[in-house]
Amino acid sequence: MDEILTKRQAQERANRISAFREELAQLEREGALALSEEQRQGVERRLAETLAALAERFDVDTSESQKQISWGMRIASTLGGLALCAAVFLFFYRFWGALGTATQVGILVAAPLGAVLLTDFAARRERTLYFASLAAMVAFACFVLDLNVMGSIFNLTPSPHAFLAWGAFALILAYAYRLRLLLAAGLVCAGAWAAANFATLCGIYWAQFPARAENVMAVGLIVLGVPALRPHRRIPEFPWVYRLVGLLAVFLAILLVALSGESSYLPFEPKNVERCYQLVGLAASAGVIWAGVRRRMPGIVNLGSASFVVFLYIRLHRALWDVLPKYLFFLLIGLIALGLLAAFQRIRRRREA
Amino acid sequence: MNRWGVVGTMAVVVAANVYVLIGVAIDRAGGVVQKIELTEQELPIWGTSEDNTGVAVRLSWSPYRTSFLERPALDQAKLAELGFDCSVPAEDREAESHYRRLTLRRLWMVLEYDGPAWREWAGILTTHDEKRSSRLILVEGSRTLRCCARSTPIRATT
Repeated sequence: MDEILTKRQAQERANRISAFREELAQLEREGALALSEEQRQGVERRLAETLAALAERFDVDTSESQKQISWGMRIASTLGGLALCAAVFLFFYRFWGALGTATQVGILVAAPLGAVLLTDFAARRERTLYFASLAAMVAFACFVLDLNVMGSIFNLTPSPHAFLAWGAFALILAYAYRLRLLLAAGLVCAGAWAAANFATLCGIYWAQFPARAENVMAVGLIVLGVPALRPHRRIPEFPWVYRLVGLLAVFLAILLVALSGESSYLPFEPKNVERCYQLVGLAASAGVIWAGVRRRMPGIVNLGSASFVVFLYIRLHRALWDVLPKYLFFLLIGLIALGLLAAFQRIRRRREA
Repeated sequence: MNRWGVVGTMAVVVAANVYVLIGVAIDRAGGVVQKIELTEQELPIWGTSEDNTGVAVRLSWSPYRTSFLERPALDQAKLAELGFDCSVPAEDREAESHYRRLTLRRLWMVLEYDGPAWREWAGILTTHDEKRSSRLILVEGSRTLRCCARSTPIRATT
């Protein structure tokens, strides 16, 4: 068990043990395998010891009911974190009018520092990190509130550098405590800062960086490339977050231009730019599906498939909605969906062979 | 304790707040250049509710004056001078697409308070509107603060 480094690897081992137990029982019932009592007890003892060790070290789920409860805990901690963030914002705004400026600044600075200490305390007390994740979200919300309210109190000119500070804060928390949600928040903030600076270099006011989708697309591609440069062997769950955030940024940017050609730097007729990006979206989605299938990443395949359908629908809608009768248009969409199903089945069979 | 996590995040919080406060101190250094007393017409209270006890005000100003249509402060030539591409006539078929592509720019504007532009504009307002409208009127725009300060008799400051 020494080679197991992460909770994910430990959970996979626990799942394999559970499946092995079920298959063993099935084979014995069918008479295909007959273990002596001594052998059965030996195997069972070994499996129980391994599961106990995994549960002790990584707090893995060793039964189906535990898995269901873990999902519930994940959902509860995310929703609870969001609710606590809202509570922090509303609590401060409810009372800040009664406080002096120095007290306001003191509270604003102390709140994220206190929440960071709380995160560290929670991370030391429990291995599952549900409470630590929740406290880290509150810390991030406190820091966002801090710089936002400081800007309001002193009537400061909005600056893109706030995104850099928020991004650095979230990324440090994410890497220190292995928190995926904070990693996503950090990537979004750092990406917004990079896109804003890219827009400024191109002569656009920083706050309008989404008005040219290529700003967002460039940042998305950089985020997407990080796992290739830095494989994160000790935190294998992080590359997936990089890929997800990067792909979402790229696809959203392409979608934006595919719907409105004015949102591009390209100095061509907006309708032509839209057509071009619709085709780029289709090609990129197909490429992502291919890469996901090749590297056995079901999440990436699903994301690619969803974006392929969206871009295909937009392309067909723009090209055929006014030309074809509506029933024929939807018939065509249905036939294409059937064709895609057949293509996926063929890929699946080929990979099984 | 995850020392680098705690120290790193705290360092970011402290550094960001110190950066902001130093900026505020620099902005407020040098004393008051000029005092202007504004009323709620120019600074209406903004966004208060039972859940927000803070008081925020919004600077309200107007681009209008009596001769607005004949001589607007920001006409096509002025907007072009400020860096906006106004080469496509408004009635052109491509105008909507062209002007939708334009983005915001950071510029400097001169607002005249309770001056000739306001008095000229107030002359055509009803008494009710006159008491509600902002007396800050846009009179000049420029790409740089220096150009703005040169074009007006008052000393401009951030």
